Amino acid sequence: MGVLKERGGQVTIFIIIAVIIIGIALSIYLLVPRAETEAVFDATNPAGFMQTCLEKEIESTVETISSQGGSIVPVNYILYQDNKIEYLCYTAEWYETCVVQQPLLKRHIESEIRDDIQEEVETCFANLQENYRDDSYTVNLETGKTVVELLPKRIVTRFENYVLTVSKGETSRHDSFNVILNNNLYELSSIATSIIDWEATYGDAETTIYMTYYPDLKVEKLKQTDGSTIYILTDRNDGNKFQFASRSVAWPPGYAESVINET
Amino acid sequence: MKLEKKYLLIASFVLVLGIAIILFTNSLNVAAVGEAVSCCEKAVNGAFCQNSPPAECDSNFRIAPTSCESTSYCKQGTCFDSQEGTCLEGTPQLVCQDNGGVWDERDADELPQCQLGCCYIGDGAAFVTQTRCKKLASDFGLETNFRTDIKSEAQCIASAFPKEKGACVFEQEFQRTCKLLTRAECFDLEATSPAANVEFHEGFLCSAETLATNCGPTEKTTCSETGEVYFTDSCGNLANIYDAAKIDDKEYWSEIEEKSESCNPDANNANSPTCGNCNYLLGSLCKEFERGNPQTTVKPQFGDFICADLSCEYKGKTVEHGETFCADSPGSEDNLPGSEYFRGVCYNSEITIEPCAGFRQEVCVEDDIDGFSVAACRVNRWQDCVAQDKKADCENKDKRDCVWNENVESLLSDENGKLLIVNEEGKLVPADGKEDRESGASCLPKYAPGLEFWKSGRAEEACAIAEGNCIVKYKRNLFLTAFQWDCVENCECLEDEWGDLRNRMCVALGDCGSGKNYVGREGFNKIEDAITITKLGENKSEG
Repeated sequence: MGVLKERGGQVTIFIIIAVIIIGIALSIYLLVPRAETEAVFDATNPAGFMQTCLEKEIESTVETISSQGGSIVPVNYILYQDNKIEYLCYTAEWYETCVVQQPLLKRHIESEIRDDIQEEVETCFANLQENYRDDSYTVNLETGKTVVELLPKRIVTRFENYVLTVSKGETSRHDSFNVILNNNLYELSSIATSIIDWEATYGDAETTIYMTYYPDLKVEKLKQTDGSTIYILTDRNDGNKFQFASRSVAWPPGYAESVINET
Repeated sequence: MKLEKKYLLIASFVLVLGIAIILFTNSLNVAAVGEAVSCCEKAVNGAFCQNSPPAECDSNFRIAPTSCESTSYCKQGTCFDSQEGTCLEGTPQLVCQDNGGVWDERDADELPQCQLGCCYIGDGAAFVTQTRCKKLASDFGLETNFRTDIKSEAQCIASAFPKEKGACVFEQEFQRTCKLLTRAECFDLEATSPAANVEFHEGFLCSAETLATNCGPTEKTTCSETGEVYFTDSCGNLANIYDAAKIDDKEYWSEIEEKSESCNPDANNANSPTCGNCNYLLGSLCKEFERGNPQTTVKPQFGDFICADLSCEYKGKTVEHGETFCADSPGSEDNLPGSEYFRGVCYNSEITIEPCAGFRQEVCVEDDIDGFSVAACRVNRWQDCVAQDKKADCENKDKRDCVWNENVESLLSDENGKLLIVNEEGKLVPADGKEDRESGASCLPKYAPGLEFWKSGRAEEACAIAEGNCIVKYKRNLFLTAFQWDCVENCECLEDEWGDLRNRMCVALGDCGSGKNYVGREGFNKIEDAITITKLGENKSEG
């Protein structure tokens, strides 16, 4: 009986210790911030370094732009769920169709992404050079321009005329730097342009047409009390979203002046 | 409500009814009439080319004391994107040019660069401009063909035919193998890979026994790009549409069969364990079978893929994929203050709810076509109801959404303020004095609109349309006691029903009157609060 009791006490202690260990492990897992993926330097693959270095930044920029109607800093916007959503077609008047505010949406988005990541591009190239120098390379970088292009199912960031020459005994020249992000912003911005066309012409757009044509697309239309409409386009496969606002053929609440006067 | 006992010595009373005039406002709705409007190149809120009062214009940009259509810089036209080949109408000149577009005041269909044609790209077609067609070719890395003789999108899409595919047989690593490709892709293979002795067999599947390749039938399936379940052969190529009955049919594994010739082509085959001929428009799409997923409730007889059921569930009812319906919304049946209309949309097993315009400026209408429900938010045309003085005009459904109410006091009066009554033709005419005040009629909104009653201003005026006076006359009864007065005119105004009737008219006008809001909460004012009783005086000569 005494042996059994002793064993029971040991088991309890083991359980308590196990619970404490699991608790500590969980606390470490949950509380200690995990290190972000850092660009790994490989002297033979500078393009890979740039891809890793910029990928997160481009992803974050694209996410911001997509939730704000294509602009990093929306100017004429409506606040929806704490998001500033840019009007791509707008009229302040009642009963009137809207005036297109962003006729070349794809080009606008490309330039917004380019401008927003430019600083990070320079930082990444500087880090790349730094890494080479740390490895006793002689480095020379000729800078060019950053070009962002929305393409089907991807966003390509090219660094045109950027030439990196590194030498350590022998010299190698690298001039092809591309960062590719898988994203459907090309498709979603095309749908957005079509909706703007409808809004500017008819004052409204029918969402079911788009969902009938594109099985992977979800279109939400949310009318606001001030006459604005928020459109949310979502790719059902990967959850990529693009949301924007329009204000077209808005109806004022209440009676028109003429009716009140007449009665 | 026997008020006469209280006021026996008074010759007449006035009951002033002001139901629902206290509660509401409407300041936001319409810009003041006659307010000067200018064309702002840029408004202070950042919007370009807005017709706004000058105070709302950004002073760093041009302001013209005219409408934007009359200015050169904000005139609307078509913006052509020469890189993308797209044309967008309704774009102001400066917005287009500032963004790098080419602007023209003509409509898109008048511009040569905006002329649409049929662009064949890969297996598909798009009705776009020629520049757009070239851009698509570059974006997708495919060859295109542009035809200007096709004049409509439907004709263009119908004329697209997928390039005929077939078995591309070749030798690789001492094996006779096969890929399902188009003729061009097949011969490209010879140039771009170590494949040798390439042969193309149009219309044949790689699993065809006669081709003697290492690809054979399997029990595996996969989803095609077009959304059907397909058999795959042992080399991973698509075969024909999954049909469990034909898994051992050598012929079915030999030649390509059209979708229309495969199993149950006219049904959606949702959750069919034996047929993978899915149809997105009819409500099914190829998906991997997943236990517990309501879209895939049946395990396929072979393989892991099935035609998923895309219908939705809404409040215990099944809604078919593609159906739209008017969603439930508290208070909308009676158009109570705060209520709105909503449209529900079922696509891909997901319901999305779209609010119609606020303040019940749009209502949801629903109909069904052969059992398929279709709904839409459409404009609530209530604005001129109260101004109608003819039954026929009031009930003209092509023009307005109103209801003609007879046996009520008219809201309209003639130019002298005289009561109007309905004649036999259903028209309001001045009363000749004999008719009682309930011989009138009023045209009221079918769907009472919402008002911004919490703001001071115009809602009060709107509700005051239903305001009315009822002068009740009493006469001393000489045969009874000296203090007895009998009601002789407009006595009905002393009854509760009269107040209720007036309140119903108020409520029908909009967010007016006394009653509950959309969550069932009673308003602050009761009907009695809206009735004011005033003693006018005594005329002894009438005694």
